[in-house]
Amino acid sequence: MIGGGATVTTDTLTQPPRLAAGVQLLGKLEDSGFAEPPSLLRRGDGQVIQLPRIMYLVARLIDGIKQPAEIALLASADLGRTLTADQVRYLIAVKLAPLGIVAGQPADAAGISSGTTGGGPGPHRAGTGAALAGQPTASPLLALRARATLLPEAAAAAAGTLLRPLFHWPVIAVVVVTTGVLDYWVLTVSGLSAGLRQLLANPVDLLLVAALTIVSALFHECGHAAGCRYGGARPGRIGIGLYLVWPSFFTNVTDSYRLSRAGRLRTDLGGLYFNLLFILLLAGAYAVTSAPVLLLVIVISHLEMLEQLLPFVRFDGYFILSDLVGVPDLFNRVVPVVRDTLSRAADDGRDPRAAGLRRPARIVITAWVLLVVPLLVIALGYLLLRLPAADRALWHSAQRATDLARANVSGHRYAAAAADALGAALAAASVAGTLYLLAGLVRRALTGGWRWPAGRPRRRLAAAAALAACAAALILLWLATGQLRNW
Amino acid sequence: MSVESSVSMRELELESAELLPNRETLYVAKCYSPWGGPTQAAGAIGLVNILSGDNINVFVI
Repeated sequence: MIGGGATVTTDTLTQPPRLAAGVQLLGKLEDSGFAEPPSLLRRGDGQVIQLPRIMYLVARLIDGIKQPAEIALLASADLGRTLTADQVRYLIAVKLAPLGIVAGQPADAAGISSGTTGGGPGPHRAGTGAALAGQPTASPLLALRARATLLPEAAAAAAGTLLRPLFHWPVIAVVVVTTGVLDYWVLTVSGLSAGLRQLLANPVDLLLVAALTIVSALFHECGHAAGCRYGGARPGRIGIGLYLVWPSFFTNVTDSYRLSRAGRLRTDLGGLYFNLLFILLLAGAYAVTSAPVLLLVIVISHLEMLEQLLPFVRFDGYFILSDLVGVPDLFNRVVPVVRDTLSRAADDGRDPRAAGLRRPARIVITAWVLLVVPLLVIALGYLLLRLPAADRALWHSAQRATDLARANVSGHRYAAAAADALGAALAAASVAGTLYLLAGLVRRALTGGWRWPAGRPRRRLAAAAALAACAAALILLWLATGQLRNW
Repeated sequence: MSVESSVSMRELELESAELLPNRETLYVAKCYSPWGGPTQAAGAIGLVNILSGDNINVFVI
């Protein structure tokens, strides 16, 4: 019997523990906002796990050769405090093995009583949690869904390597200053009226704007990959997925977790920096063609950049804020910070996700939570209240654009038909996106309602009744406001 | 070896790992109304774009 109610039989871990295949130790999270900096580890499936000091120390000493007693001895020397062999077995069986870090050491194989696994906070899952083949994986809130690859990992890494020299300081300085001068000229000397006139006179030019915007988005993602590569990390694939209700390009820069704060921020800002480069390319094209619509694309690119700086959803601004405070996954702090702020739990009863933060990080994250929670509640609430009306409008728009496309095809105006077809496809995709979002919300509500009162049938019944009542009220509201008519 | 104190079991129970989500930088392809101009200024989180009324004309990404 080990203190704290844990019962560990010491004769069950007969083989020296070894790490699961593919596990990589990434070292400390640099420049972190935690009082005691955590360390990072990557599982064979790519899942990155943040571990507190003692867990990481034990994981680092596991090599398939050392027995728990030897690990305990070495860990004690490193810690400057005594860690016993039984405590090492406990950490391996209860904390590390369920995370898929240790090979062949399921919790029950270590003789842990069933009540022990629930004795501590255990691994926190980002979002509501998900388990694949017995291994927990992050299922974060407001994350990208339905991903498809545009540029596989090797190609994205090659693009990052190729474009890496653009992150040298003299190049950055020239790009920023030149863009500033260009903006001044566009806004004060040239103006946008000619571009708008061209667009209104010839709506087919919208196809050009759309194509350039797509290229700009892909170039933006290459900027993240190049920034990641410049810092010494390896970018993953570049692709397209569904974010909330919108199609979204993405780059997987998970490997940048192991970079310093400067390296992570370079990765975050790389996309915006490449937007500036793209703007200069557009300016060059304008110098050659004098097509005023290009100036319009430059302004749209600036608006896109400003939007990217918003920190409330997983745009670049979110990652910039996260890296400035040194705390990964801010959304995973929302509930702990709110709970910690409202409760007066004793120190050892506080959620370590909130209690372990340093004061500056805690202040910034609390302010962020106070802004993001009402904003998301209002936005999602409004979306739910107006969902059928918005989808109906989008659907009518898709139908209208389809009719126009047909008419233009009949009249042999193929470019205009393509513009209309694009509009129809986007409207239809938006409808699909809202339905996908709704399905996700329903799934989360159902799984959350099912898990919350675990082991308490009456509470589970109450949760089910509350969910059913909310759904019924929403449908009644949609009916009463006529949102389900005139489709 | 200089060992100052023992690690308590309670301390180990409170040791808590976090599964970090993939870092995926996003660039949302949004919709613009050809007559209303880009609506993202109002659509601070991307949702409002589709909630701006009954006469939505999706045109350009």
